[in-house]
Amino acid sequence: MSEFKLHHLVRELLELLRSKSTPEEYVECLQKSISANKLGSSISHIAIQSEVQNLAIKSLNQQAFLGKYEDLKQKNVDCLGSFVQLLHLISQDVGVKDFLSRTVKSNTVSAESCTKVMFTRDELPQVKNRLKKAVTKKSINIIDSNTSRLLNRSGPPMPSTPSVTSWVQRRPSMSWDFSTTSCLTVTTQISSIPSTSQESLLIEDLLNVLMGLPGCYIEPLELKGPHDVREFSINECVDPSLKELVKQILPLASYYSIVQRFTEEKMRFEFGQVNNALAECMSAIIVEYTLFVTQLETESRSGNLNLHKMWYYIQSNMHSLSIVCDIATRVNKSDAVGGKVLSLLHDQISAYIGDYKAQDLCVHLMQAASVPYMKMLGMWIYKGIISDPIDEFLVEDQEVVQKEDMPVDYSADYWDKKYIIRRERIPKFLEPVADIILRAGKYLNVIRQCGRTLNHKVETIEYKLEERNYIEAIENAYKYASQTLLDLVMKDQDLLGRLKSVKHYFLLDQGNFIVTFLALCEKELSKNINDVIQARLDSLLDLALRLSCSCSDPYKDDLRTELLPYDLQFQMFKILSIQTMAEPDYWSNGECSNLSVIQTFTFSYEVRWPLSLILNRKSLACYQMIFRHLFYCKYVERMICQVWRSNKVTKKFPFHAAKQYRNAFALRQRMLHCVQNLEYHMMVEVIEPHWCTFVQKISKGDVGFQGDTHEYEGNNVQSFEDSISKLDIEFTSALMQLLDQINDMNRGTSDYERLFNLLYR
Amino acid sequence: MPCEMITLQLGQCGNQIGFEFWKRLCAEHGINPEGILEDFATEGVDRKDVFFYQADDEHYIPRAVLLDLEPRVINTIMNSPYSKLYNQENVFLSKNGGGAGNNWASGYSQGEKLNEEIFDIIDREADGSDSLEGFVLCHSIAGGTGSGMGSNILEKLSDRFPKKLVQTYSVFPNQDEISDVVVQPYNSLLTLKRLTKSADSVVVLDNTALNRIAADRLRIQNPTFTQINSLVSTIMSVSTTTLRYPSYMNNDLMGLLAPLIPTPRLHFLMTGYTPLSTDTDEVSVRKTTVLDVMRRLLQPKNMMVSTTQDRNSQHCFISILNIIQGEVDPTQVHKSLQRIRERKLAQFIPWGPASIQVALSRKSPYIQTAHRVSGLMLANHTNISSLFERALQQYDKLRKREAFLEQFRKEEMFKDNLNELDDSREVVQDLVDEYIAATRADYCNWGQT
Repeated sequence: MSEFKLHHLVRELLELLRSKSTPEEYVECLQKSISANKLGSSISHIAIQSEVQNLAIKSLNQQAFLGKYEDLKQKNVDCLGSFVQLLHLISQDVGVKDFLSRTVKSNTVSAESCTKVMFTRDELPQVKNRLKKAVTKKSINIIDSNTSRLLNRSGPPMPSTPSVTSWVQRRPSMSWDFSTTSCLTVTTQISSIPSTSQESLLIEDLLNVLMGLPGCYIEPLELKGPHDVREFSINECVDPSLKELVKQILPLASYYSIVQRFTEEKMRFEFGQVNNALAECMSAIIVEYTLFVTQLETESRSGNLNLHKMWYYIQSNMHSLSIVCDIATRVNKSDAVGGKVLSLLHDQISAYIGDYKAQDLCVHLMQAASVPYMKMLGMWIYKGIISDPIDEFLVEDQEVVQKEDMPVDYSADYWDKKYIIRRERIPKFLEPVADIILRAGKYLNVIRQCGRTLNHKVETIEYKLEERNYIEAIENAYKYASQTLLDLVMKDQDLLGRLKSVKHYFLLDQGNFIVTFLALCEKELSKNINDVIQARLDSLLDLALRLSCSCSDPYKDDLRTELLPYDLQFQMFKILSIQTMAEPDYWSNGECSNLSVIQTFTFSYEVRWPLSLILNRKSLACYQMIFRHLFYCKYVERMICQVWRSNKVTKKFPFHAAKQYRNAFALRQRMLHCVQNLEYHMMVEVIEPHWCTFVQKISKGDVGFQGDTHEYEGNNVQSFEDSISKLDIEFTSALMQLLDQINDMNRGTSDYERLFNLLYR
Repeated sequence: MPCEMITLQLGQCGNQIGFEFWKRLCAEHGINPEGILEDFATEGVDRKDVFFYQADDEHYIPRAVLLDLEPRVINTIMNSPYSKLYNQENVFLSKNGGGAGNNWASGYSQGEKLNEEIFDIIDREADGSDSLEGFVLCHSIAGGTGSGMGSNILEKLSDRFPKKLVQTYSVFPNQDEISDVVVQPYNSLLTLKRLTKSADSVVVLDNTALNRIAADRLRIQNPTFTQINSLVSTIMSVSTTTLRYPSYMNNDLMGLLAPLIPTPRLHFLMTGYTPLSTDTDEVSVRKTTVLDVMRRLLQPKNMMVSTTQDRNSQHCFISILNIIQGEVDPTQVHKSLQRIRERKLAQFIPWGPASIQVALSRKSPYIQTAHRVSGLMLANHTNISSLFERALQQYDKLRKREAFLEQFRKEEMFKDNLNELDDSREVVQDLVDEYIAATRADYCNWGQT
């Protein structure tokens, strides 16, 4: 979890709890414990079980609690384990318990004042329980708001998706699942029939029931809920021994009923392609099953079937249908769509390890169900296209702005925000490669946006029991995508050359350019910001570029001048003040009228797509800050050198006159020494080594795009920024003030010299 | 292009040094003797325009002015393969061709007469550059032309171009040998006055030390002028590398010299270079680390100035700049500096901030060297005053006997009196005193009443 998200959540929580303390300390504390607990974060099942037991024992309403727990467990709530742990911890911590019960009291009193429920001491545990449930929702809300959406959702999952008229719903009699519950044929009293004859009648009935038609003596009962198990009532008069046999067979009919209902319901569009595919596969199984029933019927027509035989025949189907039914129930219960269905299936597959037949069946279902998902995956990792009408796929396009609009921060946002992974949608078996999947598609999109055609063949990925089959394919696709993008960026866009040119200008690598520029702009730079014309600076910059050796740089035309409305010190303090109490002090832009040009001057650099992904505004801003600092140092150095040059006249002065200056000289020397050593430290000892390691990492170049450039770039700028701002943070005020002072003093001394010159001339 | 330097070569010695210097610069920048860029050097990141400019036909011409009062050396240059390199208009030979006869006064007065013609050339060169940084003057202080005419030009330069820097590479005479120039002490002293007053920075090249280094370090028993001059040209080219191969820092001469010369008068710089090798001496390739290089640079035996080793005196460094070339890790530099500080290998002035400044510079990619790291030290050391003291002693010896003064009296300047000599002596004596005062903590207030 990122730091900011954590921060946000903590603040939300504190607001909910109406606490007045600041979030920072908690965040810090949490982060420490998170990093400490990283290894132990996956809670073992046994621990959870024992905790549940403990909780159950403590709570008054044991049954309700356990029931709720089972319910939640079946609904596949993601963070159930951690929630239970939380409950456990709460129940162990007396202070929190007290606090919670107090707040809950006040809450309920205020909220349900009309009911005027007064809690007695005895009822407290119950309240606690309820509160816990309330907290469940809250905490789940906090930990993952999407899960709670799933929990609270009822009815068709996505109201916005187009729905196809469900004929089964509209015309219930079309359903193959007991559209009528009573037998239409005239029933004869079964009690009047001898038990041997009863058998054949029952077989007849059973065959009907097994195909979803009501029998005469075995009647389906009305369902309580749409996903409930169908029960049957058997005529009272049936011979008890036969009745027992029939009862044994009847579960098959219930299974059939559930599966049939499942297929009929999930065929609908809004349940998503995965459910559709699963339902289709299941209906194929049903077809086979009905074929089997028909065979039984033929048998029975030819008089070869009795209930025992039938029981025998049914065995294999019973098992497989029960598995299918189980899956259908699970999907129904958890309202799963898309990736979650696949995760469910995946779980089943691993649960049936050892039972080859069952596993085969599950794998079969899985393969069928995963076809549309894998197709989406294929489109994404080979083409970078999302074709996902009902939000099943794990990657989501968050595009709000089009590239053509090109807002300033587009590139920065693009990389981080345009495509995101929806964690809850990841099928379990793809979880380890989820990031790779996201990146692969993201790269392809960047490549396509650069106007390159992708002639990568879409290969079908299939789910296999051995995961390396699809993992390998995904990894290969990722490698291809990253390699292509890397090539694009490194070769076509010449990233290294770009970076070098950025280094020339922002890190003052080629000093002679800066010397030229300073020489040309000297007068302009000392002016007040209001008196300067930026166009003039631009033209001077242009001249400097052409005069210095940077005229051979192919990217020199992307350099611009910029005058910011604040000085570097202000900017640094502003950044440092973020998330501290002093933050509001820096919201305003400060006073810009008193700044001189040198204080506000900076270069800006135009970066075109797709390099703007790497050199985005953020990193450019870092570069700018470094530049301003260095540039200021250079400027000060130059001023001091100017004084030095003007001092050379004193050589010709008579001996006694010349010596008056010596104190001033010593001071000037001290200042120069300081500035030059500072520059040396920053440039040679900090920037250059970082740069070298950075370039080395880039030129290794085969690890992958993300790992290679983006992060390193980030690291690079970060580490520059780190080390320099470390310098700055440590000394910021001191150093900058010192420099300011030096600058002032420099002016002071040059005045002082001039005074002396005047006096002695 | 800013920061251009114009080189003036004066006299026999100056022209010989200059010739070697240009030869070396051409090699470093990949320019052939005709001034045409070699094929392999077309994509350089170096700045050739500090010392060269391009003619209309793209070939490179040095910003050099060759001046002499006798034709011998310049003729040799003009008969060499490099004859086409120079701008013929910049070669100035006195019409009478008689030379200055090793007489400072003669050189000075001839310079005065030829003043206009010479400054026509210099002005033309100065106008031809975008923003001239300064002048480099190569000469010796012992002879006639280099010292005499050089002094004259120095004075004029600082009058005409007060804002430009004037750096000289001045060859001091060998004091171990008995010179054939008897008036050498006079010449030296008179030139020293101009160097003190009109030059902004003087790189002292002591023939005594150069010969000693050639004999001791390079094991050449009787070093030729060419061998000595190649040593000098190495120093000249390395001390300008940061200008020619731009990097983070020290990209203009001013930035290079300002920290070295805290007070304007104390501007006489010593140099040291290591590792030394010549063409004949390829065997002695040593392991070179940054620490090695820096430590060796601090040893007096590697200095190109021979100073008397006086243990008792408080002589110390005013400033040091080490230009390190080669693949160098900045952390190594840091460590070496720390080591040197810990062991107190270098003594610094007590009245100001002082430490070894380091400039890391690239090597020319076109010259293969056996050594991984090489370093040049530019140092401002108070010990250099001993050189001037020696010059004063020799002058005093001659002056006491009033020896060889008739040649001087022939010239305008000394016709009436020898005040100029006395005045020069005073200036040099003041310089020596100031250097000695600079070793003390109260230097800033020294001499103030």
